[in-house]
Amino acid sequence: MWQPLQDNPYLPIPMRVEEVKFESEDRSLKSLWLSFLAEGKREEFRFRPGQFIELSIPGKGESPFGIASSPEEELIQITVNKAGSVTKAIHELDKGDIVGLRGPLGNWYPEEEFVGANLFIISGGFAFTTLASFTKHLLREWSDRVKNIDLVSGARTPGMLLYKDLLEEWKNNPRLNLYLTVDREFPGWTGLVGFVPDIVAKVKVDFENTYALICGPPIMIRLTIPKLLEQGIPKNKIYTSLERRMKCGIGKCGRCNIGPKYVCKDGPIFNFAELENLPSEY
Amino acid sequence: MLYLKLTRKNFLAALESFSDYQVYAPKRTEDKVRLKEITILELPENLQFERCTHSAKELFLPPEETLFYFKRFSSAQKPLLDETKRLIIGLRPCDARALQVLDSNFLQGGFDDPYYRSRRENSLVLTIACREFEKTCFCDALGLGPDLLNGADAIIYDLGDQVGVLAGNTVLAQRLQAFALETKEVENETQVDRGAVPSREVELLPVKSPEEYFPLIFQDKLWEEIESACLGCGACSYLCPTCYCFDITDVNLGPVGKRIRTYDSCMFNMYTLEASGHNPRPTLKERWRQRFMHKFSYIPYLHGLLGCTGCGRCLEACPSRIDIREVVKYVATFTG
Repeated sequence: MWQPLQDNPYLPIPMRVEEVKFESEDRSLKSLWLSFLAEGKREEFRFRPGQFIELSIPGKGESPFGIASSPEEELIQITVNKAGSVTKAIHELDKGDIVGLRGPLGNWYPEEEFVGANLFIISGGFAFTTLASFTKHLLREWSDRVKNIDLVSGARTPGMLLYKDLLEEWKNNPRLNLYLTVDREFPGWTGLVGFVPDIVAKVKVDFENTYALICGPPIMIRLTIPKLLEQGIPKNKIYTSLERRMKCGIGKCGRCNIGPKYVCKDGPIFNFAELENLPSEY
Repeated sequence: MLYLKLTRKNFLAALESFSDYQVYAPKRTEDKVRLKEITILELPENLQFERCTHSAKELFLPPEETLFYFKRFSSAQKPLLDETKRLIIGLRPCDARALQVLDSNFLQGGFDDPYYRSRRENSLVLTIACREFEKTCFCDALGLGPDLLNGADAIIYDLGDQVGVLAGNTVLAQRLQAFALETKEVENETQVDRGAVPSREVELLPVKSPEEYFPLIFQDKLWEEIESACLGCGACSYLCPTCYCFDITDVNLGPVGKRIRTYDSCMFNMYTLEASGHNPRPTLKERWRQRFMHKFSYIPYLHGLLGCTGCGRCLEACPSRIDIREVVKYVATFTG
């Protein structure tokens, strides 16, 4: 009954919800871990960090989500911000529920380009998903192929920081310099205080031969870019992942284009040299 | 491609051999002409048809179609592919051209749309050369013509009591061959007898190359001036034969439901509105830029053919009487 994904790209493949977990203190962010119902599908589902899926709940609809798990993990993790009707329904899902998945969709962080370079990974708010996937993958598989790894992750409050267990683990990982920041002082908070762009300006990074990967709210990105350019990182070495309203996910339905590029198919990962030539519709 | 001359009677007789096909032709109902299912016997003997007010898009990308049925809380789902064999006769060269534009989106670009492909591959499209220009037609001003095959399976030329058929589809050509008075292998339209093809003195529209339009992306003032007349009703994109943008939604029918796709339009606010409230194209300024650039820059840039066919339907439909020809001219002369 299930047609292979490549024959009919509109048909979701069935997934079982294996685990759910609130990620933020305000319960607006929830992670889901999914497994494939059909045998052998996990092996067929080859993705790379940066790619996304369309998750569907029959009767409610579909929404796109960046994959937060790394390719080496068995389960597929997504983190969902409760915003519209589909994401509200996703938040109501529980262990054992069946959902649909289409993907993997879109392009990925061009990791081959990063060989021998430093990486400066910058995340604000809940945009951390695919960057977390990438970082996990990096530490596991690519650690010896890149030089320094600096990672800034910021949130409004300590309780809003995504993937706290992962961050704890990374704190003690000598391979990675971790900078966690929140918007203002909080009792018990021993990390940095300040907005992401200001922290980025202060972090001592070897900017020679460095790639920056940056994800976050548009305002954060807009304020961070100048700081990176000031440090001498060229535009074509600054990558970001864009979000747009999407439907088909395969470049057919027309809505997510920015100029002649489709965010779903040609993106979601773009570098700033590319974005400069496109209308500022993001 | 093969050019054949047949008597009208024989041509109609040849069509009768397509008995396993549903036949569609333009048919008038009150003030609208749309493609309707008819029988071969109902075809007008002179093989003349009115131009469709709605385009051929309806038969290949219906206003609403079911992608699949599902059972709620279950993994069962049933895809629906329309494999009906259709012979569509009486479309115009601009309609065939529009199908080439739709093909470029649905059949190219790395992913295939099985719903569109199924309809397209099971259809034969026979166009007729136009005998006159309608008030709003402007294919010739885009360098296209009322007598071009444009990727149709065949185009029919009116030669009095005979018809000339230029067939791009070899299977169709073979079927017609048995009924033909004469046949010859040709390379293009200019090598064949096309009967009385309409022609007129026309000024070519100043359409630029796709890349030449790119800098206009950043000219806010240009799009502000164009948007000022527009109501954002979307009638242009609904009737446009090449506007293909669609929405996907779920419909619940009790314990079962269906996922459908329906026409959408870049002229609507909701089209790009995100759940967060952010809208990357918040006003008609951005939407007009999108619509114009999509047709005249992005499609040509990505697929090598213009996204406008010059059919003129948007001119007729627009309640503000916005004339896309004037917009093309205005954009060409805009200096900031």
